[in-house]
Amino acid sequence: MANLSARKADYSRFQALNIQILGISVSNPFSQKVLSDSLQLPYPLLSDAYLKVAQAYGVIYGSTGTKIDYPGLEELSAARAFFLMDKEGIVRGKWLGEDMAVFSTEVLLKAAQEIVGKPAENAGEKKTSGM
Amino acid sequence: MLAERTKRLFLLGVLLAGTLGVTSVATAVGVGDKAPDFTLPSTTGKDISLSQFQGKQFVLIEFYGADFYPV
Repeated sequence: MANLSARKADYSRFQALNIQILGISVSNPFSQKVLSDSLQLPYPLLSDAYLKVAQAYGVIYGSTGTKIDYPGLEELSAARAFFLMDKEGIVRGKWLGEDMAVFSTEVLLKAAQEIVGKPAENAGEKKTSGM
Repeated sequence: MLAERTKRLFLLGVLLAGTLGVTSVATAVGVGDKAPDFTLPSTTGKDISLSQFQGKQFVLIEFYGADFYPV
């Protein structure tokens, strides 16, 4: 929860970079609504009830190589992980977090600041200078 | 002779399928990859798709374990 709140505290800085935050977990929408309301989160939480999205991104709990703090929950939830996508839907940043630690928002923001202004290496044509 | 060859080919096929299967399971989305699109119910009361932000905004996804975890 402190992780989600950390992103809330710096939400305006993400907004300034034109970044939409989406939180995703296996929890059902009713539980997420209670959590979201209680923390007054300014960004939406999405319910990945069947873990299809976590699976598609390869972040099923217990499969990412990060420390397991909740034995028995392997394959039943998502590991803490972050993906930053550009406007073309290309992954430009990926970070894996630990369960029992707050992932630094500064790390995400610093990387985002560098990434947002820079086109993907293989994206688009190089502009030629002059005429 | 032919049966033996067919058997060998079959075994090779099984081995190849097994290897490819393991590879696909271990593959995770990485930097530079096209992000898999999704549509999920959200706390806004409406479904949200990754593709709806295409051409408009960057998106930061935070996967977390479950609601009301300690951190």
